[in-house]
Amino acid sequence: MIKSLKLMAQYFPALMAALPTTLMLLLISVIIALFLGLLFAWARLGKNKIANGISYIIISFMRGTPMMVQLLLVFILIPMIAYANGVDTSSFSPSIYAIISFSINEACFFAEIFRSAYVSIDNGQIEAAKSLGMGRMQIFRRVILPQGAIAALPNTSNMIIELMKNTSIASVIGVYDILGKAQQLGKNNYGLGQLELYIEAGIIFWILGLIILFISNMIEERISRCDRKGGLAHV
Amino acid sequence: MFDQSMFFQSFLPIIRAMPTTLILTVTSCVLALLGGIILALLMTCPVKIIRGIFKVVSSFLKGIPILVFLYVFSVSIDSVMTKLYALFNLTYSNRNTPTLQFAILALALSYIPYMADMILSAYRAIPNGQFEAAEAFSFTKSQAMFHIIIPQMTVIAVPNFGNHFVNLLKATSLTCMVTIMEMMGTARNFATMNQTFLEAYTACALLYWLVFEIFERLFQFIEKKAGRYLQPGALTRRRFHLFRKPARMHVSQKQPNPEQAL
Repeated sequence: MIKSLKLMAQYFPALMAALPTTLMLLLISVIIALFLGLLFAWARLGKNKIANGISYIIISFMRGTPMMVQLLLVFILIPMIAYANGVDTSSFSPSIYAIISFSINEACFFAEIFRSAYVSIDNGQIEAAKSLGMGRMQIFRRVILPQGAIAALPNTSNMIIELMKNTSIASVIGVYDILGKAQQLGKNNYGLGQLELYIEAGIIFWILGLIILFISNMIEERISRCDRKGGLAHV
Repeated sequence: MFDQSMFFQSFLPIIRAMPTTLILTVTSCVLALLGGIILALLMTCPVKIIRGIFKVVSSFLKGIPILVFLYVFSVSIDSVMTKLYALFNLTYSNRNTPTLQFAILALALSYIPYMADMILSAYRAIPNGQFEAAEAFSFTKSQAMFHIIIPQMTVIAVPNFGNHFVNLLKATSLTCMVTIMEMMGTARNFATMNQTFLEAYTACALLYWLVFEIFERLFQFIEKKAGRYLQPGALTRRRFHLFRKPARMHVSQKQPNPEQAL
């Protein structure tokens, strides 16, 4: 037991060195997914039937297939397309493919969340904004976004935590995130202390998840303050 | 670039591996449900310390990626099995390791907290009047639970359960990392053998999509069937059945049922 703890303490700095990779994967894919998700949700809500159909099929496919298959497909497909167009991808880092696959996958889940948040907004709010002479972007920025964000935030933060856990799949294609690093360290040592390394990686993931949960709770409290009783008085 | 004949050839081995995926999904889902019931009971335990401990345990299990669980289990499989066999004075040979069983355990363990949350939220969704009504009819606690509360909880929990089941189905693809030949593992094997990665992965993705859609539709159907008494006018509609005579109004007016009068 004490020996295992010592081993864990010894490996801790090496594992923490891989933390930026995990965070970078998570942050970049979430930021891309937010924009893509808005785009998909807009396509799903709009009147254009072709855009609606295409986004429906993409969302259904991304929800229906495991992340691992998507990751491997992207990992195979993009170099093929690039090669056909005369681009050499051999110097690309594998985290690029991970980011592409995670962001498209996450965007589809976000799109569903955003769509349900938009539907939950009272239509009278939008009509009132129109009657005040607001433009479409103005309505989105001043009416839809603040109210939709309150409805969408709990689900969105849940999905972000899920994605944080799922970034560990990137180790399959050779990204050295926390789990990939743990695997590498274990194999360097002829499999000695593998168990401790994996458990330590799990604990790091858990703490990361708790931090994300804490931040999302803080944001939720901040943006839903107008929802509370008498909330407008202290704005 | 895209070899069509290899694409169609790669369907067959992946379809053959489908039962393994389904076994993994169903057994781990059932195990997770059982564990979730126990965890839900422990999380609502009247003793405050036990409640606190199991809330932390639930958050811990929720925060760990499934891949980590799978790796931990697959690494510790030999030492655990050796100790287990030594208890019964047997010698364990690591030629036939029970990888499938350990993968099922790992998947179940990672879904236990979600199942517990599902059960707790279903329990909290039941209005207090139901408990009071059961008490007013002098039901015992277990009677109230089994005849009134649990049937209603089931209906509330079905959509959530379907969601978790489908997510588990997708999560089984990770078990190919611990050398289990389910759909994903077979596709990877086939791809490496024939050097047709794109074709095999596309076939695998399409098959996963198909299975996912089937199960999603199935759970939507069950949800509709289970929740039919919640739809407005459902109970009155059932009276006018196609093959049964409609009830005559004046009969029931003449001889009112004593139970109805209550």
